[in-house]
Amino acid sequence: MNLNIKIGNLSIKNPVMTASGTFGYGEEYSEFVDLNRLGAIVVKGLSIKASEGNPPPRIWETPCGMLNAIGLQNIGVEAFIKDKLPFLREFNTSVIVNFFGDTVDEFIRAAEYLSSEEGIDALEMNISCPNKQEGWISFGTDPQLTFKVVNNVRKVTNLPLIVKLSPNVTDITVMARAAVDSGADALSVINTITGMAIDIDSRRSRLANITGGLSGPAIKPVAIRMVWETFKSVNVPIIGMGGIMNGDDAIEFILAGASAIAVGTANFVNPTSSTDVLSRIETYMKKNNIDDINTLIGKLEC
Amino acid sequence: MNKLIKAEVFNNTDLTDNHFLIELTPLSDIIPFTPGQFYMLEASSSPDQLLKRPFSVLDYKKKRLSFLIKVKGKGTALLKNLSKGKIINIIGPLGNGYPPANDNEKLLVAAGGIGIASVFSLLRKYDNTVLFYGIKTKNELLLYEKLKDMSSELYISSDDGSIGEKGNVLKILKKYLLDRDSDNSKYRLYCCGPNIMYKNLAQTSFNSVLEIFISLEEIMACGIGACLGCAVKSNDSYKMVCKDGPVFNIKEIRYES
Repeated sequence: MNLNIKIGNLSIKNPVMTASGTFGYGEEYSEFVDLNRLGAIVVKGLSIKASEGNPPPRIWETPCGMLNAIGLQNIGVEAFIKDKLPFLREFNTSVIVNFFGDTVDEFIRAAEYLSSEEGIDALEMNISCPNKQEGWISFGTDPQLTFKVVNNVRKVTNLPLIVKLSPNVTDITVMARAAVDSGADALSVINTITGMAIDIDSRRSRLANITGGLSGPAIKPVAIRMVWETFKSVNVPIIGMGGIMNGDDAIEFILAGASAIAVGTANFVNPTSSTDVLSRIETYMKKNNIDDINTLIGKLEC
Repeated sequence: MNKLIKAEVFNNTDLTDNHFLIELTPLSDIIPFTPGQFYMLEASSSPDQLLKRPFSVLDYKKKRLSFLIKVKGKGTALLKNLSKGKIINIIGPLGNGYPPANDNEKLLVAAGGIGIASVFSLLRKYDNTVLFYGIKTKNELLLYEKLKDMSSELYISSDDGSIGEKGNVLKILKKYLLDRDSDNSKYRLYCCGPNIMYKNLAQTSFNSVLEIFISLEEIMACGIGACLGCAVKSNDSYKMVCKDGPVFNIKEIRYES
């Protein structure tokens, strides 16, 4: 049974990854999950300088999901390389580093730094996080900005480059094409959907940041739809994510066009979700006599 | 020994309209907990209510973990209705606990309201503890017999004066220390209560209390230090209540005035 997937030049051993921001830098979950089983770990987003993140409250549970406004708290690329990467390299799993910047220049500098290190198998560009409060629009909601930032990063890295798209747009295929035209090897679809919750007694938002990103089962239908739309519009591998709680959910994404999937919020519900999803995919393939996962990709009948 | 285990509801008793005591029998070996540590409890396996909820371990006796819980919202309301025999997933013990007390310091324990749940196991661990327990009103006094039995001195206060001294727990704590001002005793204070209690404590100077440790709570998702959701402002940026805490030295935490 072949579970191998190709993302640009990167070959990952199975389609199951962990979503950025939900798995730390791997250590916290290593006592619950055999990290060697995973296709890839996508680490918490890094920036060229460490960032302390948003004031609390940062999270709020909503029906079948949760809002988060963590604010991209991270230790910075330098500390990651020094203190966290060595641990990840001990495992037989691909290491994908998610990164972001407040400006094109910061994106470039982070990409350069990460590309000069051994042990990083691919980069995932976060152009879509809705948590920054600066007031300027996020890169991923404007095709020209998307093109510009991806193009600039492409020039400074030979690593497989995945661009993580924002769902907070009218037509995700426009952003998908911009990212691919500027050099993305693959696309992650989708990031969180911007949402809000209000405490009616205090009359304040449940999040200090006012708005946050919605994740979990509530967004799965939107995520699947966007994977399908993206699949029809570009030719690069898609990593599908958004509310995957179990293996059946993962298969839905693969049928819609995803070559690989990422498990995110489900890790909070059940720390073994990622490997449980992998086991279920394997069972599904055996049961349906599917020898190669690649034959399942995009096989939605319509 | 695993931190993610299944546990069966052995008993679930209402103590008041909105407080209950739930006892869980772990179905596999557990790591012994330190007073102050917590477990993430699954209130529902339905995707409608995703996240587990964190609760301090009240006690471990006869191979059962017990938790004393106040109903605040959806999760706690569901936990209140878990019936005997129900099997749930739990994760723990998590976080740090109250650090070991020094021999030369007398241990004072203060609880505000449901904070009694966090400090209770300290009474089991240490002899000669002095417990200060503040509640809003007589009806919210929980586990009185056990507390009397397990502490060497017990002082109670209520906001409305319906039981014990009228006032809050800090009032009776300060009174105790003032009465003993001329002793040369050195004290260590472990406490758990609402944030307003910590804020007031942080602004009080004590001659004889050398260290104060507090237990914080924050809304959590993962409970294990990965999601960065349960942040609290400390002097040194943000700390995570689930991983760096829940117990902190009071000097570490930044309070807005």
